[in-house]
Amino acid sequence: MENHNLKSGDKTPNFTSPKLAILVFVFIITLVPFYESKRVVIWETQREAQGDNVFRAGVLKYASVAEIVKKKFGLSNFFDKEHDFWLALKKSPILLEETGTLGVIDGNEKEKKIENLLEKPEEEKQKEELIKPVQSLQTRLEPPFRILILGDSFIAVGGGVGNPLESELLKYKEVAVKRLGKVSSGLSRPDYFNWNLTAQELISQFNPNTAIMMFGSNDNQGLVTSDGKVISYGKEGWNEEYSKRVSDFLEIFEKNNITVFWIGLPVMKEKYFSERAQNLNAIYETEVKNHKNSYFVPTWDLLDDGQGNYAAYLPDEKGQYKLARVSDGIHLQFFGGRIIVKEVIKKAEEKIKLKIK
Amino acid sequence: MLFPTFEFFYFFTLVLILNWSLKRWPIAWRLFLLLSSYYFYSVWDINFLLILVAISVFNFFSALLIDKTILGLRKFLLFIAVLVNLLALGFFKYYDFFRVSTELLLRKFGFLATLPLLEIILPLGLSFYVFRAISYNIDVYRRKIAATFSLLDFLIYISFFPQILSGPVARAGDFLAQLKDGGAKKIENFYHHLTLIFLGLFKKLVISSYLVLSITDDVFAVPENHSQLVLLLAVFAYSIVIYFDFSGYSDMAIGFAGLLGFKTPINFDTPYLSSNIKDFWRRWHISISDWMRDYVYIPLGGNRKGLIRKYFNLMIVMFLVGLWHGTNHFIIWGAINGIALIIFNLYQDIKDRSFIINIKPVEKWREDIFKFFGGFFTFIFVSFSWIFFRSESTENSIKFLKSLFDFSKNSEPFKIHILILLFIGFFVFLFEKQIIKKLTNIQQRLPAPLLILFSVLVMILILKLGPDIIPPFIYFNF
Repeated sequence: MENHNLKSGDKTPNFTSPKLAILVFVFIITLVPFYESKRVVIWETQREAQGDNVFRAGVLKYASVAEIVKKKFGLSNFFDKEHDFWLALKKSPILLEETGTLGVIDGNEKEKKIENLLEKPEEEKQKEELIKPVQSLQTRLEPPFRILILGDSFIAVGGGVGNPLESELLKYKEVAVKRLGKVSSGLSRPDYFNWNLTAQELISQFNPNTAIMMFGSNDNQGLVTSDGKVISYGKEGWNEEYSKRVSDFLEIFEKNNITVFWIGLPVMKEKYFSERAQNLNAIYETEVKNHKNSYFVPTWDLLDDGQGNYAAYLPDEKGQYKLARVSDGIHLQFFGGRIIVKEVIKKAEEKIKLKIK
Repeated sequence: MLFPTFEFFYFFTLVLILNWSLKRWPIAWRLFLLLSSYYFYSVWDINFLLILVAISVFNFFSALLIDKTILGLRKFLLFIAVLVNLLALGFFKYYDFFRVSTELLLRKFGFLATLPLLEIILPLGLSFYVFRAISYNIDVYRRKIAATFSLLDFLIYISFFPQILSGPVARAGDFLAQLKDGGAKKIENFYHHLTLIFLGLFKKLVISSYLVLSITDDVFAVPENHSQLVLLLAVFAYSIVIYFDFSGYSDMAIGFAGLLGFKTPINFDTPYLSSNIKDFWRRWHISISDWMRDYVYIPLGGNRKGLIRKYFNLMIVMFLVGLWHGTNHFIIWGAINGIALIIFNLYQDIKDRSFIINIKPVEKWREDIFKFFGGFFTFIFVSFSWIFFRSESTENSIKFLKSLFDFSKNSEPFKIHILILLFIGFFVFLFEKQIIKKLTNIQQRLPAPLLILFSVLVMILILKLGPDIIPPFIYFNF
C-alpha cells in the first residue's frame, strides 16, 4: 500500500475518544455564537450567501435568541461595549481594516494636498464657494482632479467597476484617485459599515473635488430608523427612509463642494432583484437631482440585450460576443466593467475637463 | 459553506456526532459520509452535484473495465478514461477562452464564425476531484491498486467533504483503505488536528483576509496607482497571503478529516524555508506536485532519458501546473518556474559532474551559508513569480513590473498594520512547526474542561481579530 505523506504530526500517535472532540465542538457551537451573537447576525445576513441551508438558518435563529437573552439579563450593554472596543482597536492605525488605494501624488500635488489639509479660514471657504462653478452654469471644471471612488462590491476588486475605473482615470493628466470598495456594504446597514462616517473621513484625508460612487446591491433589505423602528423592504415608508439616507449621504459631498457622479445599477439576472434595482435607481436619480453638482449615470440599458433583458454576453466593438457578467447575475466581468467605465468617463467629461496623458 | 463560518461548524458538529455514532453499522456509516459530503457540496449549487455524480460514476466503471479487461485493450481504455476526464475539465475550465481565441483565429482567415455562447460555471473543486479520478484510473492500470467493487466507497473517495473543494488530492489506495470495517475507532492525534483547525482559521481570518483587504487586492488590481515601496510590500504580502490562505485551508481540511478519523496527505511542508527552487516545489502544494511527478513527469521519461529530455519534461510539467490554474498569466507563471527549475537542475548536474573530478568535501559552515542565501533568493524569486500568478491578466503583470521599476514615482503613505501583519506572517512561517508542536502540547496537558474553555476562547479571539467579511479562498477559483 502506498503512503503519500500521510504524516499526522507526532511521531508516536496518540488516540483519543471521539467523545472529547464532540464535547469540544458542542461547546464551541454553543458558546462562541452566543458570545458573538451580534457579529453572527451581521455576518450571516450581510455576506454573500452560497445558498441558503438549514444550518445557516439555525445559526441565525440561535444568535437572534442569544441577543434577546442578553437583553433580558441586562448583558447587552457589556457586549455592545466589548464589540465597540474591538471595532475601535481594529480601526486604530495598528489594525485598520478598511483601506482603499491612495493616489500616487506627484510633487506639486503633494504640496497642494498639504495646503488643503491645513484648515482654511471660514472667510476663505465662503469666497471659494462663490467662485466655484455650479451646475447651472454648465462650465466644465478644470483640472487638477482629486477623484474619490467609493461603493459596495461593484467598486471593490472583483466587482467589475471600481478598479477598471481607477485605472482608466489614471490615464488622464493631473488626476489623483483614491478608491474604497467595501464588499456587502451599502446605505441600509450602518451598523455593519457606516458610509457617512467613512465618507467624511475620506474627504478630510484625501480632500477630493470629485467623487464617483455606486451603491445598492446590498440595500434591498430591512431598515432600522433612528427611532428604532424596523421597516422591511417593500413596506410603506421604506422608500422615504432610504431616500433620506441617500440625500444625507449626498449632502456630505455637496457641503464639501465635491462634484458627484452616481453610477446606477445595471439590469440583474433575477427578476425580483432587477425590480428592486430599478426601484433603487429611481431613488438615486431623484435624489441626485435634488443636490447641487451631482449627476446620475444610468447603466441599465448599457448591459441589457437590447430589449431590456439581462444578457450574460454582449458584443464588443468588433461584434464578437464576450462574457460581461459574473455567474451570480449581479457583478461584472472585466468586459462588462469596461462598458460601464466608458460611460462614466463620457458622462464625467461633460462636466469636468479630462485631458489624456 | 466555507470552513470559517458558523454554519459550517454547526454542520460539522452534527457530522462529527453521527460519524462516530454510526460506526457500529459500517454501511450506514459510509452512506452517511456520502450523504453529508453530497449535502455539503450541493449547498453551493445543486447542479454541481449532478456533474460530480456523473464524473464519479464514469470513473468507477472505467477503472473496473481497465482492471478486468485483457491486456491489449487496457491501455486504450485508460486513454479514453483520462481523455474524458480531461475533456470535462477542459470544457468547464477553458471553454470560453477556447471560444474567443478560435473565433479570433477564424476571423483572421476571413471566417465570421460564432461558437455557442455557454455561460459555464466552473463547478467548485472540479480540478481537484478530476485529478483524484485520473490518478485512480492510472493506479488501477499500473496494478498498484485493484479497482474497487464498491460504488459507495468510490463515491465517498471522490466527494469526501473536507477535501472536495481544494484538496489535498488524496490517492485512492490510501483513502479507500480507511473506509474498511467502519474505519478508525478512535481519533488519532486529536490535539494535533484540533491545533491545525485553529491554526488554519488564524492563518485565513487574521492574516490572509486582512492582507487581502488592506493591500494585495487593491495594489495588484491597479499597480500604476502605487509607489514602489507599496508595490514591494504587496509582493511580499501576497507571498504570505497565498501561503496562509491555501495552507490554512489545507490545515483545516486535514484537521476536520482527522477528527472524523481520516488521515490526509500533507499539502505544505514549510515551503518558504526551502533552500532552492527544486526543494520549494517538493514542499509547496505537495499533493499536486506529487501527482504531476507520478502521472506526468515519470511517464514522460523523468530523468531517465538524458539531460535534455529531463529539462524538457520539467518544462512540460510546469507548463501544465500553470495551465491547471488557468490560462494566460498562469501559464507564464508556470513557465518562469519551469525555467528556474531547469537552471537549478543544470547547475546541479554540472556540479555533480565536476564533483567526481574534484572530490573535496565542502565545509559545514560553507554549506550553511549556501543554504541560507539559497533560501533567501528562492523566497525572493518565488515572491516575484507570484506577480504573474496574482495579476488579473498578463497586461496587469507587466504593468506591475513596470511600476515596480518606475523610479519617477513618489512616496505613498501606507498603514503600519500591514508591516505588523507581514512580520507576524514571517514569524509564523519561520516557526510554524514549533508553534504547532507547542500548541498541541499545551492542549494535551489540559484536563477536558480547560481544553473546552481554551478552544472556545481561541475561537472567540480569532473571530475578534478577523475582519467582518471573509474573502473567499483563493484556490476555490481553480
